[in-house]
Amino acid sequence: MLVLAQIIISFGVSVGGSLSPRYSREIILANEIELSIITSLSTAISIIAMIPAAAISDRIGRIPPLLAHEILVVATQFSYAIAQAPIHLILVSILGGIGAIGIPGFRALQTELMPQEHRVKLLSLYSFISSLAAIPGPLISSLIWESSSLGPRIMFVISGFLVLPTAIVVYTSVKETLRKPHEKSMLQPMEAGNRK
Amino acid sequence: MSFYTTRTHYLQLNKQQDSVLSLKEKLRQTIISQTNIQALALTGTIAAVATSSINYISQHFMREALGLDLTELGGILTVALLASSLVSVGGGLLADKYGRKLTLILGIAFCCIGAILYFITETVIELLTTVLLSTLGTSIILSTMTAMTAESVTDRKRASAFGIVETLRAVGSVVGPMVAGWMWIIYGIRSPFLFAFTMYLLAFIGVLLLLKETHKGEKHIRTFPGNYQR
Repeated sequence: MLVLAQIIISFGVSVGGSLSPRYSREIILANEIELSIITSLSTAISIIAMIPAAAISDRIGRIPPLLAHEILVVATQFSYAIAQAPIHLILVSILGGIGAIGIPGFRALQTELMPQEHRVKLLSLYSFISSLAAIPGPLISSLIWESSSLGPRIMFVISGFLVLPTAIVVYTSVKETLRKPHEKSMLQPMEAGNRK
Repeated sequence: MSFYTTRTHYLQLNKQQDSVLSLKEKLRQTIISQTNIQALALTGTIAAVATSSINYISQHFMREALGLDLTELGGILTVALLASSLVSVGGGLLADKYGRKLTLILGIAFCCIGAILYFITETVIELLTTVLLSTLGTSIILSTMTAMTAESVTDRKRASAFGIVETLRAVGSVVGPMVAGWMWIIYGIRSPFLFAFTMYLLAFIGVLLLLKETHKGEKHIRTFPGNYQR
């Protein structure tokens, strides 16, 4: 299920994200400084947000921050579609940066669901599938940009609607992997080594 | 009666000794685990600085130094990315079979060779080999480091460990292009590759000296706290 979710997210985000710099430049008419702010602000916010989000993920579980991440990704795509001025895109970029709160929990969930003997192999396969899923995105968004009578904004709406089912898929089918505090600690090496 | 008292006393002593031993072992595991996360964060950041500086400069390098047009550039990048992602699954197999540390060292070695080849490359074929090696190394580093981070900690601290490692990696990715851009202006377009090589070399030494193995391969016993299967 997580693989399916990743395929949908990679594809959806690549549909919206691949032409977003061109969209910012040509449709929203952002200048060079605004463009660089839009690009760097998202990374800066994600750097600030990730450590507290990771601590929260260790307390309340992997799924809630992951779900918040999915919702923020969808909100970012829809906000791109309704943005009218560069300042709106700067706010969207802040929203996108906050979206990074799901990353540490997602990595933890991903590795906890994989058996240790095949972990790296599965992680590599996972990234390969994500790369494959992202390939048709730019092509489709170019086609939408050129041919749609509704204009390039529809590209982000489609992207949002592609990512939205993922939130539902993740929320309903992926099992929470973080154990409750009263359950046995894992800091028991022999036990950890022997447990299957 | 006295026999039973002695036996109970003996058992109690044994139990106390066991608990002291287990406490010592727990402490040892915690220290190893913390050292490993620090080492992963450090080497991961250094590797991210190198990778991001190469990623930033390589497209400009391909266009300006080798004179490739946009179609050739896109073709080379797509082929290299797909091929390396596919081959990195083989790298994953190696990591699962022969251990994480060895594969991570191999991944960084690929990146080191890639950075040096970037510095001397003149033709498209050389460039393709270089991009392949670099992206293969990067994918191996990423997946192996993710697994090692997960295996170095218990599940109650796993997301926090990922938070620290990912944040520092993001900081490294911001710093890399800045240094590469500065070096490009001062020393020319090929110089950032030498910087990247130096960074990879530092990461290589860091992994070699600081990082402890978390999974020695299929035939070995696992002792790390995070080596737990649900």
